[in-house]
Amino acid sequence: MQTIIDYGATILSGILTILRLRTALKARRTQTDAGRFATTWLHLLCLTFFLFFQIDDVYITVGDLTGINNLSWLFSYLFLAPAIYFISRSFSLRSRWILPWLITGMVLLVIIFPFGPGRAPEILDHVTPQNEVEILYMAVMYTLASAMIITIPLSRSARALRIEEQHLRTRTVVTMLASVATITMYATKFAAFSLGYYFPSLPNSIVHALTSAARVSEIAVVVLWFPAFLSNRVYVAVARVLTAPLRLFRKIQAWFYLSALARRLQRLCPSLALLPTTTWEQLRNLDFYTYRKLIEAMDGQRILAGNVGEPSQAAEIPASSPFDWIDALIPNDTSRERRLSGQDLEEALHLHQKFESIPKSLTTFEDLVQAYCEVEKHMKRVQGTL
Amino acid sequence: MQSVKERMRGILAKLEAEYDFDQFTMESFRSWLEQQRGKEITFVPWTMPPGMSGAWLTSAQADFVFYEQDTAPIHQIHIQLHEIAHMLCEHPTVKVGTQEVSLLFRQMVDRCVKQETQSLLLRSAHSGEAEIEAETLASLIQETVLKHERLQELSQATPAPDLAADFGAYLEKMDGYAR
Repeated sequence: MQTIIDYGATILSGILTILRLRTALKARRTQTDAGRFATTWLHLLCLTFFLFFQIDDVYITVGDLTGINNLSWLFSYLFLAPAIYFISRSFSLRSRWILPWLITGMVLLVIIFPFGPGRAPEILDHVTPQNEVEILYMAVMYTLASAMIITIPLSRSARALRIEEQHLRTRTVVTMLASVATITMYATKFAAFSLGYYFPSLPNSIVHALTSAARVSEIAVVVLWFPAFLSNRVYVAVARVLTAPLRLFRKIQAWFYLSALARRLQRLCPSLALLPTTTWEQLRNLDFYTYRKLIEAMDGQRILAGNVGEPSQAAEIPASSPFDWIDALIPNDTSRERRLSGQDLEEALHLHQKFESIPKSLTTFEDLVQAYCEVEKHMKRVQGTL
Repeated sequence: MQSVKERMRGILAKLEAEYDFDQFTMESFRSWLEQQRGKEITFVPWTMPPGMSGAWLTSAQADFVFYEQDTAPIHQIHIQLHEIAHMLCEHPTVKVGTQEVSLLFRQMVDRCVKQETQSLLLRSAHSGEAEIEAETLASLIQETVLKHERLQELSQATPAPDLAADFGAYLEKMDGYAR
């Protein structure tokens, strides 16, 4: 069964490497994210070779051909290290620090190998190390891998909290979890190997627990790294589905507050025209009516400013202006605002002040909707005190 | 008798048949309308008196849409669309010579303030029914724009010439060009 898995994983990785080569070359020609595609492809290539040298038949053949025990183990680590380096470089934001670690780690592996695994008998299943140098050999590999991978969650955690787009945030969180799972896997494996070597009489239950923990973390690594490589489009689609109820709730909430604000303004400024429509119609076309309610609130804001704001700074016209007929253009018998008094006047003044406090720098639809909703929330809060 | 909304839907249907809302931008909509009307449409950012948001005046060579400059771009575009809706509805408006536009407009604004007739209905000196028609048509246009997923185009500031500072000079230049 294990042999089938080993072959399957190697073939799958090899196919992906060939397929991604086309994408990487295309990106290189078009200069779009060329570096990222090249890094991902190099990761896949190294991973394929790592898996290849882990296959039992290859392992034995390499040993037989060279006469050096466990040489395939060295080869597989020498490909695993750059595979982890490239994946860390793809996802980490501080990747320039990890190249020296990679070089140092690989040199150490080559130096240690002849004194550890190279002297041990040819073994396919490394459950218990044969000597202390072999423990050191594994410690170097696992420390190197963990040190490179930990840069991903360390560098991304702060940014993940700032990301606005839901799908990018989800992707970042998945990548961070995959990194943590990988480090956990190395830690549990190393703990299992070391304890097995130093305490051979350890109760079976503890050995079993450690082995199980290592297995679970291995599965978690595979399960979490897979979505980390998925296209952004998949994340967008999934995020849209998952957040749909929340978005709908927020839209209804915004529409509700803006509608209340428009009604409040119409009460204070009766000439404000609100589109005649039913609640059902508005709920059916929520995006448009949220937009409309914002516009109505802005119209109302201007009328309110005319009623309670500062006098206009409009330029004075010379008394001798020849356009006497202009009076005919201005209807003077309609639409005068009713005089505000008492509580209404106080409310209008307070609302006007609140409108004035909205920063002029806000221009996007979302920002303005939020700002005007806040005005209504504030008015609701202070209603009793006015 | 048709309701206002039905009448405005009829105008919108004609618009949709001739103008591609998939490509909507205020700039392209204005250009298209200029071609239809055979004259230039100039958007003039202006400091309106409180209570007033926009106005439309027309001359032989051009239409002038004055709009409040001290408001968010999303509101400015709404005011522009409201005044354009008046044009599409073929509402009557003030016809003047280009050199008179600036002075006339200032005069109107001044009178509005002095008479304290500050209301939305006065934003372009039209009758109540005309205002309702324009507002309805503007909202139908906006609804169509949103259906075409072009909300961004309704909230981005349109590039406007800096006319407010020296509008008289601009008009003289334009008048000379027209001759």
